[in-house]
Amino acid sequence: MNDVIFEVRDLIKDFPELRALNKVSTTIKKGEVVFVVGPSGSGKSTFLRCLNLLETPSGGEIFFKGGKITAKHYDINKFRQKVCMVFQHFNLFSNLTIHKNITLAPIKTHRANPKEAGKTADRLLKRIGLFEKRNVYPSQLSGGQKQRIAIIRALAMNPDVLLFDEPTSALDPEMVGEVQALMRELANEGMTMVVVTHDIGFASEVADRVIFMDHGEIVVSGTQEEVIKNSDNPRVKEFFSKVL
Amino acid sequence: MKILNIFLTALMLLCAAGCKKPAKPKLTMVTNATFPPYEFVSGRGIDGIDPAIIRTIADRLGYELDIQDMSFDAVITAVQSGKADIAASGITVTEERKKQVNFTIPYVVAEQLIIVSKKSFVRDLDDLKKARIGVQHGTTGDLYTSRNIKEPERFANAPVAVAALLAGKIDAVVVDAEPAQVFVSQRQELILLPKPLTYEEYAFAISKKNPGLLKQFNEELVKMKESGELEQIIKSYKEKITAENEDEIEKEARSLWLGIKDELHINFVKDGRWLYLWRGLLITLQITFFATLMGIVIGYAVAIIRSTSDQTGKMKFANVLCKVYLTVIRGTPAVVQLLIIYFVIFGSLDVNKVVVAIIAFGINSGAYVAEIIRGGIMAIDKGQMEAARSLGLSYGQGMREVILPQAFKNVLPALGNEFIVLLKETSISGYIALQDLTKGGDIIRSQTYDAFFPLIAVALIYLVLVVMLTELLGFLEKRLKKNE
Repeated sequence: MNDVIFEVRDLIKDFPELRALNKVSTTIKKGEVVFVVGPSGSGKSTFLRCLNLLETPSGGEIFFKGGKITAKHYDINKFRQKVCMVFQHFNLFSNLTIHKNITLAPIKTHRANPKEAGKTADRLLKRIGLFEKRNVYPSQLSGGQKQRIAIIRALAMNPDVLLFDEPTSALDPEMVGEVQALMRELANEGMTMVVVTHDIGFASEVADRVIFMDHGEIVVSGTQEEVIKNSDNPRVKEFFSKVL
Repeated sequence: MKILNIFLTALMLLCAAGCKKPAKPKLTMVTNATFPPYEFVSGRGIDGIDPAIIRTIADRLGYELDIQDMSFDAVITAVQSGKADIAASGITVTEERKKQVNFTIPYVVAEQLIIVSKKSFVRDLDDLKKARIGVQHGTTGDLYTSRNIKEPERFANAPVAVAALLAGKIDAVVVDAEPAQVFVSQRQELILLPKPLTYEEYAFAISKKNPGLLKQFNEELVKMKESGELEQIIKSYKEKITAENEDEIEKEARSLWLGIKDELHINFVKDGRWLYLWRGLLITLQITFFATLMGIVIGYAVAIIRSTSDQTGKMKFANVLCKVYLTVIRGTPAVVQLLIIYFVIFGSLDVNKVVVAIIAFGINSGAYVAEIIRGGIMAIDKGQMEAARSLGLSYGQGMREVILPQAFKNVLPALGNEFIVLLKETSISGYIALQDLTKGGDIIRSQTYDAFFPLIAVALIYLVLVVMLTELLGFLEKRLKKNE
């Protein structure tokens, strides 16, 4: 039980005119790298955003390390410190320098004192080779640099799991590589990751498990061999024949 | 028994300490000091027939006198609402006014005279029906003219009406006899019609709730009439004013340049008149500065409540309150709000008028600032708050650390504009008798009967203030732009 990060049971999310998620159930284990793929509008981003409660589920249950996060008085802020998200459009705080972008959350949530947080930020910046950018503002960075900063901003919280919402979709093609390289590194280090992506090539290379979603439901879930190459489900086959 | 003794001794000691210096009770008199010789602003303060009589009586009755200047149409209200004890402003006794306040016995019987230009077609009372008539708003001249002749043009005070007559904007001014004689003695192009329009009696107004004070004043007035003291005071002020005016009329023939120099001297140097502008400027700056601060605090609070309610559905009740506040403040004129706060909300409290103005303008500005900042918050990309929340920050932390700093930078030009509007809007402070910059110019005008120089000077000072404020905001904007 203690190596289960997320346990999702019959998750439902209704929008005013649309059921985005219909009874989604799955388990995400510690160290697992799960890629969620599927056509546009299949509910994969909504699923990811339900995992850290940026969307409030309409039904079903989600457990995080045994705690029921969909319960009424669950401390969401505390929980989110362990489950950090990387967004398609980076969402770096445009009023803060790169260094402060990274240290803001650890300091404000009292996970580190300013000195420790600063040291961690410096170490992470050196790791991705952007230490000299520590005092510039986000608008002065390229898309690839911004996304790598966003990733280490999440890492600075020392989270149990990282959620990626189409992290390379808004990037120019020549910048996709640097972001994927960093994600690959994290996967190899054993970080638990849930990644929503359109990049099937990257998914088949890095994923421990691939979830294929369509119309708000999980159609198949398994190794990339099982889902991408050898599925005999017609919807899955049709999708991959178009994108590969 | 012992305890009782100690208690009594203590009580006596306390009483002795308290009774040692009996403070004089305060008597507040309100007037509109633009009505020479009855009341006018002189170098030291408010002087004239009315202040002199009241001061004499107050001294005899053992009161400490405090004289306040306000617009004429507000003096009766001030007495009625308890803001002042007595109104002494050349007030004519009328049936309407008797319903609202008690009058003392009259201390003067006055005539309403008609001032016209020498070249005017108005030569007798019959001509008046065809003339454009100017009066001071709320005076007997106003009442009598509108009831018996025609609708007059109402000016804030008599000197402005006379200035309008000189400028040819109206054909006649109806005003009380003494000031009329003063005006005519100062301007050779003006004459008085020989027949007065009507007669009337002047008396002091005292609240109906204070019959004791009325009785005291009536007794003293009778004594002063019998001793001839009353007549002496009235005569001395009339002579003083006429003598002063003869001085000024002597300098007639003069070149254009010397004329301008003289005008500047009369308007700003003589009797230290520039001090009205200087003190007024300080009051204007004080009101603007603190009202701006208050506006920012209120504005931020309301904007945060409104946008939090819109985005999260919480704080519904507070949101309704905020909406009511915004609707009321943005739906009513600032001058009405100022008067309501002064007369109604602080009606029976003795609060410094500068504080009243700061509160009124702060509340007013807060509504506009709130909507500006709310617009700024709404314009920030939704992803900024999501990123903050996804890292475990609370809604409040996200607001404080990420959203508000960005919103502030975006709305700075609009905020600057609001503060410029606020600075200029404080010019209505004169309505509650605050001597701000605009009122300072008014006072000079009422003493020199010159509209041009005081108005231009006031306008220039506002302009310089606004230009400085604009520069400051431009500098701040540039500084903030760097941080991107």
